[in-house]
Amino acid sequence: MTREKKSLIKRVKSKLTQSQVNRMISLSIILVVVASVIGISSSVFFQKKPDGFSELSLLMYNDLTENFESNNYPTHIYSYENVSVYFMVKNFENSAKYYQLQIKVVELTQNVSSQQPISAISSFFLYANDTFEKILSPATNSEKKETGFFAGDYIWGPTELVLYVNAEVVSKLTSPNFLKIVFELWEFNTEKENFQYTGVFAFLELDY
Amino acid sequence: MKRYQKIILILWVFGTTTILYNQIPIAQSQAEQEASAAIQEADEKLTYVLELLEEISNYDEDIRNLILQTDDARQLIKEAKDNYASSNFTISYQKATGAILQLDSIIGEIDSKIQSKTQNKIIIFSLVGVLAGLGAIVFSFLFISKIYPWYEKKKLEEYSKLEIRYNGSKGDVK
Repeated sequence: MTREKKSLIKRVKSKLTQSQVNRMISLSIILVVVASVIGISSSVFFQKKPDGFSELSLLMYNDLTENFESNNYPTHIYSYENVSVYFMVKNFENSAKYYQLQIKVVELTQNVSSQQPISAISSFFLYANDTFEKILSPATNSEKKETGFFAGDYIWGPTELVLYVNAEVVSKLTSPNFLKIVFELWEFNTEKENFQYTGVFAFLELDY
Repeated sequence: MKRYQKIILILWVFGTTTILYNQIPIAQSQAEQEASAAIQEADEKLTYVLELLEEISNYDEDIRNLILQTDDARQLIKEAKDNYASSNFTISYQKATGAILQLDSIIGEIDSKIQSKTQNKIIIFSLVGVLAGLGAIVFSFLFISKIYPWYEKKKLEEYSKLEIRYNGSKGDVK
């Protein structure tokens, strides 16, 4: 094969490669356009919402400032004197929720977990026959950015809760001088048709 | 004759009292059953409403009002249950049926909302589909009438620049 011949084959090959490159570019442009259309459509029509959460807070009412605040919690409770606290629940989930608040009196040493609710064996249920329940709308995007608000469709409360401890309550405790009042947030599960523990809780440690 | 009348009167009074005495528990039992059935029905409807609410993606002002109404119905069911526990079956039944009526109206409203949203979605998707189809037709037309001829022309131009020279022997390229 002569040098001229080799050079001609090289030129022909290079020309063919160029046409292949053109074809590839056209194909890639089409692919990019199709991918962009699919991407934009999916982002518009199938928006994935971020995971939501439920919020439970305990508040005290300050008579001087006439405001709710998250301090000055009671440290003592007596059988002859009830204690008032306020609870507030906010629905930052992505759908409407049917909440229930369960209030349990336990030993001070009792561990509270977000995985498991406190068992009925080791605790006393306050307001067992008159549970606190509410259905809440989810917070809107603008409501999610709000802070310090106490009213809205997505807010339950602040609701006054009168805590009491008597002989019946402490009957289940081995050392009733120090106790813990646990507030557990439960939500209704439409598939199981009962309330399930959300893992959200708050508690007060009190001397009795 | 008067003696017989007295005996008949006494027997009538006794009979009526006995019948009434026996009827009261029957009526009470019936009211209890009705109240229990109504509470159960209201509970089932509440669960159904919650299921419908979970399916909604856009919680606009109307839906938020419906959620408030659902909470009112929940409160009525709770009161019905409390009255049932206190053996006030008639009041319990009234509260439960009130809740059922309210929940039925909520179900109707949510259903119509979901239907109208589905229709809107169908319209939007149909529009997108039609526009995409039109785009594809325009692109095909452009491709056939402009791009492909241009590509072919360019290819021929490029190939025409090539010089192929043959020598004497068959199939041998110089």
